[in-house]
Amino acid sequence: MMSLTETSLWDAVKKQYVFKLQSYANFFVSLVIVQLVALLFSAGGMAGTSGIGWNNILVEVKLYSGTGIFIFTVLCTLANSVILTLPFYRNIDFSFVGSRLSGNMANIGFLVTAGLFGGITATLGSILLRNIHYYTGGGGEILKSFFMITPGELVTGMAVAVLYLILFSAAGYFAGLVVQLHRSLLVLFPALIVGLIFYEAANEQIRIFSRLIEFFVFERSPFHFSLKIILSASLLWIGAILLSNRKEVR
Amino acid sequence: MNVIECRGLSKRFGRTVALHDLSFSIKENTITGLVGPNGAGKTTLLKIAAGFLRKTAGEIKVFSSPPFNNLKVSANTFFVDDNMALPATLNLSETLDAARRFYPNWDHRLALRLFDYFSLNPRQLHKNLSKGMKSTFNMIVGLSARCALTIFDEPTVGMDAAVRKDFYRALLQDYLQHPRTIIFSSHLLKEIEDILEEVLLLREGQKRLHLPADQLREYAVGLRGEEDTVKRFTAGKEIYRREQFGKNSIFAAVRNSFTKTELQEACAAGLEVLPVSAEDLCIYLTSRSRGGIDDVFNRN
Repeated sequence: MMSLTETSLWDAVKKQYVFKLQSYANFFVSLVIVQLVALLFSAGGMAGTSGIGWNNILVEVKLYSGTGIFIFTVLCTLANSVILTLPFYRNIDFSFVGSRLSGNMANIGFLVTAGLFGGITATLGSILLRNIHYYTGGGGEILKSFFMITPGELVTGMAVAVLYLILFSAAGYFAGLVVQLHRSLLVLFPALIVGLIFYEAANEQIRIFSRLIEFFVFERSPFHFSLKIILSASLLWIGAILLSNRKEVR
Repeated sequence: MNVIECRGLSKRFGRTVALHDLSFSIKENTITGLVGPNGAGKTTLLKIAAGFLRKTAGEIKVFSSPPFNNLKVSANTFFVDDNMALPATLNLSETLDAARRFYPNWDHRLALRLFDYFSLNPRQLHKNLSKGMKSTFNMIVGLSARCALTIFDEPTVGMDAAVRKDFYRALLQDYLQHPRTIIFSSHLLKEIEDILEEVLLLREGQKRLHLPADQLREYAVGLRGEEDTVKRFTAGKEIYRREQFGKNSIFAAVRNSFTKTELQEACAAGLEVLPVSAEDLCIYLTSRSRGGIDDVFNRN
């Protein structure tokens, strides 16, 4: 008899995680490409460009911001997290050793890694944007408020970006699995979300999304902010694991 | 020890019954052929054993544990079929290296030698392989993983006859050197019966037969000749197939419970006594009507 091999959960997760890093390296490549595109857009001065004129003087204010890069990173991360829930990608987990739990945990590990990568590169992208304007001068004066940032601020910025990306990827992963519960949800679920957003915009009494945004964005304490994100992401992950743990594969 | 044990196993997909009250066991270190017509439940059974699908009722144990979502079963089972999902970004050699890390018993030398023999291109992407090449590659991974339970579900899809023959040889060689439990589902019983030790025949989700392969070959016997004579000799026997030949001549395949003298008498009475191959027997045993396709044309 061929000896039976013992595999611990942790062992299987590690192996699947490494396998995913190796096989889905293209996720990281696509992320960087998306960020470069966003950088290109942002370099032209995207948001809040305005001109004020009085007498014979025209003052044009152009706002350059790394927000565009971050938003593109979020969209790319969301897309990647949903892709991981697609049947083909789930089936890859069952070509070699793995259980539903180990596959999910490896996916979570992969998405956290992608979040780290995306958050750091997005923040560095905004630094790159500053450098471009610093050296090209942007054709005018640079108003230096928020232009120079301390290393401490940089690290905080990165950490916040990483945490947001982890939250978004957890949401995307969960949503991807919810949608697969039934074919009709593929239409109903996005419709419900979009419908709620419009409904909320039209009704002042309804405050679901604004509360949700306030819950995270208005949090001033770094510790509480991190805690809120990590707990919310964990809830979404647990939800995802519960949703897929009885699922049939292949 | 039994590697797989099934008792009253049933599986339904909505209103379709795929497996119904199936009971059997598979001993360790045997090569079992799983045969049966399309839709008999072969793939469903194998996927339940590999832990991919959930049973609806009854009991199944693989390595003494329920297989669904079971890491121990997954670590010791390799499931080869023609739609093994593999990352589109890895080439064949990278895929082999990735597979290798999952299996402690992995034989990389064997993998590379088979790879060479079947002249696969290590730089090629799995998704770009032809059907037969894909099957060949999957088979190599399945053999090299050296799992205690190796399941081949229609592994020869798209392979040409030469590659199929090589594959059967390779399977047998590796099995003799490293005994393990192998289940092989196929439509080509004639090709694989020489390497099989056991045959499990399914029909409409139920077990029709589970026998050692050599017994299967003697399980039935065919009598051909004048209709009345055939009828006289087959009276009271289980008839699996009856075919009309010409006006007054028929062929009947029946359970081989004849004594030697009875068969000699049959010969003396002018009947031809013919062996029934394992493949034909399986076809007879799983067809819906005793006359086979002929019944469609003889509507009298």
